[in-house]
Amino acid sequence: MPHFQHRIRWRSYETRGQPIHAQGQDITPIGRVMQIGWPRVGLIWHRPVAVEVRRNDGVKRLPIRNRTRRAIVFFSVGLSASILALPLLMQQRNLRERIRSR
Amino acid sequence: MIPDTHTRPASMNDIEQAINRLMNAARAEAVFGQPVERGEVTVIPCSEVALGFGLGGGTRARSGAVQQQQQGNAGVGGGGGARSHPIAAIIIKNDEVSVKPIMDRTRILQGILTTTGLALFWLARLSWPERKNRPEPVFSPRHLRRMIRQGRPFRGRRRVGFLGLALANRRRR
Repeated sequence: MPHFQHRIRWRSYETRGQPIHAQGQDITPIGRVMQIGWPRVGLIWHRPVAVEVRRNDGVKRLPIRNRTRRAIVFFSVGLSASILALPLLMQQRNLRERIRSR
Repeated sequence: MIPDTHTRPASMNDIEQAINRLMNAARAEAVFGQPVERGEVTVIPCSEVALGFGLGGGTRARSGAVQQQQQGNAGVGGGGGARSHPIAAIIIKNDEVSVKPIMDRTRILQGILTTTGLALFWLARLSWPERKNRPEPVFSPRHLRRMIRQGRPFRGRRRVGFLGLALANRRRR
């Protein structure tokens, strides 16, 4: 199989679906694929990125955002950052107390 | 004689063919669904697809059993998983195209619970004393085992249970 050589291979490319003609406009869905190939192991991640609307007056590209992932990442990063900052704050407070006691 | 194709062992080629079929997830049709029309409104569902797979194989050569190996003392196996989540819906209404995102509350809650659990564990870990500073327990492990065997923490008016015993075993400084 050409995908699985004896080294890690990855590639990312855009996919375009069949244009849909609806209500006087052509709508083309656009996705992005990320493929990772290992020897005998493979991962594929395919997500929609945008939709292209073609009308008489021009082409408009509407992005498709994953709000669920954004919410999870926002919460996780925020909480992790605050938890990691806590020992630093405690360390600083202890240092201040030591200086005061001297 | 009709060849028994259903019970023959899977070869590497079969698995590679199966993987090639899985590769179809990379097509745009896997992510964008068929448009659904209801009156003046057309909806195209969009979802994210992720899949992973692996396969392996090998042969076993026994000493003095070359013929057996030639008969097919080999095996191949593979496994994989796939998941798909809805992300958004493309809505076409009155010549206007809009993208409506889909919030998966279950996944958000899952993420929040996992992160909170890890954060609580990390906080608890921060408050644990160092091993060298940890106070000596009141009862030795041998003593504890004897108490539990005799059922003393679970009987009578002064029964404390496992948790009570563990708390009582922490000598305060």
